[in-house]
Amino acid sequence: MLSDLSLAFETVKKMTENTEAVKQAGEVKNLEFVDTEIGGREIPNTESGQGLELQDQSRLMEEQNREVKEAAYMSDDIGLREQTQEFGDPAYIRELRESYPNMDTVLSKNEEILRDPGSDLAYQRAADTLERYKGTVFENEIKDSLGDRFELTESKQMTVETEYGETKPDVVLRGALEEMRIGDLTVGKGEDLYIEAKCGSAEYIRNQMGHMLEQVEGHEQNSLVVVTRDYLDIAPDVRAEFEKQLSEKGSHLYVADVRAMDISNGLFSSLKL
Amino acid sequence: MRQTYYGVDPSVRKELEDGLRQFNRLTRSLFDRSADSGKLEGLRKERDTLQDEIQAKLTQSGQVLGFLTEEQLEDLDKLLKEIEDPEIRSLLGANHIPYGCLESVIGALISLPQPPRNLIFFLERAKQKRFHVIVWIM
Repeated sequence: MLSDLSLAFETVKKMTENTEAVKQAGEVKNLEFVDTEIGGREIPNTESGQGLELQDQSRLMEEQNREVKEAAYMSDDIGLREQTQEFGDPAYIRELRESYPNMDTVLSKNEEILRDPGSDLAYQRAADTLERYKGTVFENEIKDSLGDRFELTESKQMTVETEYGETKPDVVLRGALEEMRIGDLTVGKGEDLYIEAKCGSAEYIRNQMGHMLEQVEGHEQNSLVVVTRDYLDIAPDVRAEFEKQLSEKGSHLYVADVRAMDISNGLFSSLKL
Repeated sequence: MRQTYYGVDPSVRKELEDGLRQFNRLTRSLFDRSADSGKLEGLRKERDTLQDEIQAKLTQSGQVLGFLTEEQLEDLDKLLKEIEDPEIRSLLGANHIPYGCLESVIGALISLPQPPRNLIFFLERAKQKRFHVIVWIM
């Protein structure tokens, strides 16, 4: 367990070497003492009920271990994690549709379907449409969160040729205004960033892994895959293999601190009915 | 997204009745702004399970009469606004069109200035086979 934690710490440390996040990593390092102190609480070492305490200790260590690994997935030096935590907020989604006319068109259309008064089938159609549309909302949220840090956000999806055929990166950002770190990717000043975004259940993201590996072939310069937090529910060995293959293709992974279901709920609640 | 029209016999219709009613209640609840995220999560899970059960039952015991695509549905929406009888409009917006109502629904559709031929064809097939119609989005 301790070696797992050390490994997790090393991952965090590696990802945060030349940034202010080194400070955070230093705090994470304290977790190495997790066998004697967890969350600032010392574990009493009494003989009676020791088996139970060992179980508790083990469970707490696993929890801490998981949190350290999750923090590494969501680590950045631009406050992106805090922004992604707002992705399911209906008020934010309402604000977003003002900036994205296509999104406003889709939501307005569904609002119209549900009025006067909406039939059962109208509600089912709207629910189905919005459920499928949450991926586009997620893409727009990423553009909105990162757009100010680049000279230009490509407004239309560009087609890129790969050995698997044509692909269209979800988000293309041109000319970083400053150097930044997102996950274990450092984007240099003036560089471009290509992003594939996946918003869905663990099962959905799992099924998309092969496709994502093909999609990143179409990325130039900095390549990033952004997924919802549901990704963390995928078995660790499956994630590790995916991340290894992603890394071999020169791409990186960032986990947004929001579940797909939160975005769905926010989207449904954002409708002006 | 497709809106599929299934023909079912009376026993299957009976079996699906409660599930469809509950599915509709759950679907409408998803739009309830006063519900907290925990409640919505529960509703979504319940709805997903029920959706799978209804789909399985329709696949196993229903007969596909035809389906409409999203674009065809948008055209149909415009046409249905021209139907004056609120009962017929209500039937066309529900998951279930009873066999006994098919005649009047088809009659209302035929009398539209631009009758939706594909939908009329699906309903005619149901009528010929004495099926009830279950309308299901998938």
